[in-house]
Amino acid sequence: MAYPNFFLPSLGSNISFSSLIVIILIVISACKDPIEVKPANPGLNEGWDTVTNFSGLIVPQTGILNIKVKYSFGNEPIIFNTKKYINAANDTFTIREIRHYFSNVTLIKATGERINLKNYHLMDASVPSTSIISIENVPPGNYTGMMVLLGVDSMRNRGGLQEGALDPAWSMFWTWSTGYIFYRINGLVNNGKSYSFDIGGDEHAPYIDLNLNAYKVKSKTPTFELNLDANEMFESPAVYSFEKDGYVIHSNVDPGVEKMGKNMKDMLKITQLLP
Amino acid sequence: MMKKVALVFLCISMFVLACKKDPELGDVFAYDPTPYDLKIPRNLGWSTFPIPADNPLTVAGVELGKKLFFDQILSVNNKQSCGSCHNQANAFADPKPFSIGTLGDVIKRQSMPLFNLAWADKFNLTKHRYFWDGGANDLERQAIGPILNPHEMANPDMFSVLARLQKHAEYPNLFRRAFGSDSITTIKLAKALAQFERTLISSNSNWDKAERRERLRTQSEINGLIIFSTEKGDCFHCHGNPNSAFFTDFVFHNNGLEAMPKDSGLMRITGRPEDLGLMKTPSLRNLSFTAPYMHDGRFKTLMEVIEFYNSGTKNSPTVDPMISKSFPHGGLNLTPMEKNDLLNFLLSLNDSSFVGLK
Repeated sequence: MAYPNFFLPSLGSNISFSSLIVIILIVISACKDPIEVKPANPGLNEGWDTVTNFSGLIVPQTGILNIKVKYSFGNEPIIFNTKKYINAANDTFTIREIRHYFSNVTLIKATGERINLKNYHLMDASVPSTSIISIENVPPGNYTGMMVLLGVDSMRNRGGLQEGALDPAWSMFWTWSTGYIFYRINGLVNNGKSYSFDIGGDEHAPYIDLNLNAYKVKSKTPTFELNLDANEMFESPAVYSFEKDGYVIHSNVDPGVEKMGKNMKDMLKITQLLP
Repeated sequence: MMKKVALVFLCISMFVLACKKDPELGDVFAYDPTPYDLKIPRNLGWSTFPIPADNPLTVAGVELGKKLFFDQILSVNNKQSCGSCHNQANAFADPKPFSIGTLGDVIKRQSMPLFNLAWADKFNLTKHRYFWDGGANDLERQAIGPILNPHEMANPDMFSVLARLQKHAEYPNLFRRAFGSDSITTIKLAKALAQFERTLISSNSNWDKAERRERLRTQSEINGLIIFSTEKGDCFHCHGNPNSAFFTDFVFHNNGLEAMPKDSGLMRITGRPEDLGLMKTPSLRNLSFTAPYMHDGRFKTLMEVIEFYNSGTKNSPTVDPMISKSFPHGGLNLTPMEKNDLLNFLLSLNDSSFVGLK
């Protein structure tokens, strides 16, 4: 790989040294002025500290959401290039690469109100630092659900070019075609062939719903530990067979991409929610 | 201890001084957002086109885009620029039927001419707007397609291209002047190229001069215009009516080249079977400079093209209704005189000033 593998950016982290200075100066000058703190919505905010009877997640004041994504194939760990994996269709293969977008983290209240935190991150399963992220400015509230997009929303997918995680230079972009590669996995198959799945296309965007009702956590800086099960794209609801459905998906219209997109909707699970 | 403090103080003050850059001292490469004055004719058929809010046209940006467009630094082996296959003398098209990439690969389609492009953003309401098969949503995204395509400029990744530009003696300064910072990114590169492409406006053909009352149309041109704009030739359904200055509808059609389209066209992008073999309608402007014709350059002369529409169109499940409607009559049945008039009308759309001949 020609890019520095130890570092994948979040949107906007690609800042030059001079803009860093500017930011520092702004921060310094901001410190001089008295910052007026007023509760964003007193009615809503009131008493989160004393609420004890709740389920899900309470962020009592504007907070920071920490997310750590770990990877598995079923119950097995991901060991790149050497370990062999078997899917439901009995394809036996290695994994060379897993990279994917992780965006539009949305917190959902019991009332159904959705708060999209509008993050864009590119994660590489072989570079653990890329799958530990923090999202700031999380509004206070009681959240009972969360949604994650393992991809890029249609607004950003359709047009224009963006810096940061969405920079086409990260090679998660179909040039001469229709937009971003949402999720990439590839490797070698036991029969001497190889497989390569690049999933994308607005109509196949894997939006993943996560339920928080089983948890009871109150924290300004909660940490979600998520597990991404790479096997889930090959099963449930439909078994994906390399032989029958294809060894290669390289566009949003290739056969098999629809099945894969649906299978991916249960790829992420919450393993822990820590205060 | 005092020494240390003094040293730190010195470092900080040097740093502060170094950061200070006074544009009034005559730094010609300071950020310069002077807007570019786009010359769009005001007579009938012309209008403005939308420009992305995050990429306004500036003099510095257009100039940078032009330099990049003609610079071989963008190809993996420094042998090919955008201008290699988009030759200005050919209205920025390629005189070869199939363009050849920087490593010698034969590409399976002809390079499209580049002029009056950005009106696609206005008149094509889909997200498939540019290239023969709609493989680019906007000019910014289109610009990086050839740079990364293994058969075209053949760069393995964008970082190597950016690194070459960053090391160049002039580009960091030119990017700073155009975008306010000398750190060169994919986005800035694409934006500069797109800015230059938006300025490629061809509006000075004999047809335009006649519209502006600067010349009279010949009788043959008038006869050809009538064939073009009536059911007789029925060219106007796809190539725009005479009140449109663009001579394209900016969308996609199967014009009946083959009974079994070899090139999937728009279907490659949409996956819809009904899009098999649909190609973007090219403009009829500057045809004398853009031979050979069609996406695969199969026709060498305009008369061959006219004869194809007259008698050579083929049926297929996705053929355009405007083509298939002539099948029961065995084609358009144009007389030799009518074909000649149509040709003269088409030739009146040549803009020699655009290709630098005048």
